[in-house]
Amino acid sequence: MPDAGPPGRRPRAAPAGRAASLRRQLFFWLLPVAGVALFVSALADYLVARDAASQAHDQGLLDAATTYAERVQLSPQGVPRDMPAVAQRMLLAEPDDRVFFRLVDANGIVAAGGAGLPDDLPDGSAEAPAFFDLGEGQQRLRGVAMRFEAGGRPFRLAVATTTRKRDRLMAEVLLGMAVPEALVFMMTGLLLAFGIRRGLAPIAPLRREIARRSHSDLDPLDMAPVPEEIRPVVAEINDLFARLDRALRAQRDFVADAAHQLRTPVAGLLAQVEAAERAAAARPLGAAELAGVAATARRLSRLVAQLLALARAEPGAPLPMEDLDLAEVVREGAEEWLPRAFAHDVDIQFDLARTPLTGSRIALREMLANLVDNAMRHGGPGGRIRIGCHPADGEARIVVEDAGPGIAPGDRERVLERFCRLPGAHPDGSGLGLAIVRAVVARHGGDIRLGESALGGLAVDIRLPAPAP
Amino acid sequence: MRDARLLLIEDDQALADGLSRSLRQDGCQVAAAVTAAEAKALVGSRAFDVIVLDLGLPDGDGREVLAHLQQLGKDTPVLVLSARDGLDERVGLLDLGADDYVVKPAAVDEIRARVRAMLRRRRARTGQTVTLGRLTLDPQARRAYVDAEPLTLTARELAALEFLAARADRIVTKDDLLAGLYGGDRDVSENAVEKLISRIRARVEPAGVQLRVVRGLGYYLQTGDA
Repeated sequence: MPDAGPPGRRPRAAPAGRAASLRRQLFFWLLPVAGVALFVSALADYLVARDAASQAHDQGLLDAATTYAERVQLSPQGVPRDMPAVAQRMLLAEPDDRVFFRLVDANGIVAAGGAGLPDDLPDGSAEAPAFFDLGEGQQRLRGVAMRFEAGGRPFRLAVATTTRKRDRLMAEVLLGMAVPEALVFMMTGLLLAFGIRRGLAPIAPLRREIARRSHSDLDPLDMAPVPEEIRPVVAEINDLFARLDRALRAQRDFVADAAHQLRTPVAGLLAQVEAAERAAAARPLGAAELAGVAATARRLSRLVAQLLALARAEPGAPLPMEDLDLAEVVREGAEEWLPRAFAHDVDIQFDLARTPLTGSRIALREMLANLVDNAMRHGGPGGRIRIGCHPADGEARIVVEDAGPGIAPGDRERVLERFCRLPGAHPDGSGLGLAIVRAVVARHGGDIRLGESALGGLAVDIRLPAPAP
Repeated sequence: MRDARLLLIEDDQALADGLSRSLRQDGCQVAAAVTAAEAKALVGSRAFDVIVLDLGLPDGDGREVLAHLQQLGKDTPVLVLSARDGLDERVGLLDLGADDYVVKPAAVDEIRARVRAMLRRRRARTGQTVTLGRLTLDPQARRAYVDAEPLTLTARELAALEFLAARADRIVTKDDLLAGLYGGDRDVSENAVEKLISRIRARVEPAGVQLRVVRGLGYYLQTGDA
């Protein structure tokens, strides 16, 4: 048997760039998921931090406003004195931030401040001051509006500051978070890659186990160390191994059988030729010696032809299929076997209807020739044979009947085996005829049944799947 | 088969030797070629009645010889011998002008029988006298003889016999006969064909001519040995 070559030389699977890598797939699916999770958690942290910063800022504003309200001083005319410096100091004095305030009396007249703040500020009350945002970008303001009474008069007060300090704080928070988050993300990637490699590690020994095998080692792979996820795959591989093993075994048996069967006629031929040789030394060769040689050679020739036919019909051998009419195939074949039928005075009757079929013309002819040959052998000289074909229920049906002794029901399965010869069978038979028939039927996905014929002998009833009309 | 000019193209020594001996014993004049080139040269320079061609030749495919014959416009019947028997091949060969096809290993008797049948069909086709058993058909003179005695047949019987002789050792269906003898006339019944054949059989069977009726298929003019 040819060697399949050392495992190292076998072609690798598709180039790494093309093949779907489980590791890459896992990595590229898991990494974004981890990234999204990290991002969501960072966003939540940031929002909480911003909320806290805003609250602190607002509290500062409110404190400043309240302090201002408490300290407002009225002139004798009841007009508040301007004291921006107080407010400035109240507001924690972030040097970058500018402070605005505006005090309005009951008549809507700006009593103090007012520069930089619009008229339409929200109202607040002493109990519930109203916070507001103004402006955009660098000019963004955050402020608070409230009401209070001083000297028995109602006033409305608004205090606002730019938000630079708060924004800078948030930027620091953001930066402080982004760097560790990026590091965590990279770590996650590394850990994922490592984890996936470890997780998929059990595949490697499996690969090695398959790689080190010779082409004839078809024992099932050991399932114990195989991870659950790839067990079904390994189970299928084991199943395939079993099928291959059966097929190889069948091939080996076939070759052994064939060699054994060929040995007999070859030995016979040799014996005949040697006898003729000896006889020729004494006198000219007679027809009798040569007839023996010829008969044995003919048997050998027929056996070889049948072995070839059987090998061709075996599963796996290429068999070109075409659309054909079974009746046509029978007619073509008939020209080959009719002379023999006439010579043996066998009466063949045909009953052929157009029977469409997708099949191999050459194999079907082989099948028919063997069926007819079988029928002629068993029916003997003067026998009757009936060959019919017709379409039936989406199948192509062929029935070949003879008037011979038939086959006992118990033997019907056995005679389909190759080299099976029943006791009392024709001495010229090879035991291959019905095996060829069965192989051809199997190749066409059909069904063969042996039964009794109305003619008194064997009826071989074959159904082959036919194409939809 | 007497005096038929036969070209045997076969490179296997044992088979070529055995076949040419047998064919010579049958009375053929056998010329032998071992290569396709040799065969092409021979068919170009000499006339043959029949060619036996092995497909696997040392210097190429036997198909080349078939193609060459077609190029030369020769209709010499060719019997192809092949160890291969793929269906495509068979169809391709018949398209290339091969007349018949035998798969190796084939018995010499089988090849002899095919050659004989091809020769006979060719003779009948080309209007030469054909001998079937003790019956001789002379299509030129439109006459038939048993031994040397003229056999009286109607024109239609004679035509039918000639039609069957040109298709000897082949199945001839009733439809073939209807088309060949009556020009496919719809009014002629199959029954008429059956009666015609049975009349012919009654006349020729005593002369050793086997005109077989194959139930369900048609008729078969068997030449057996000759």
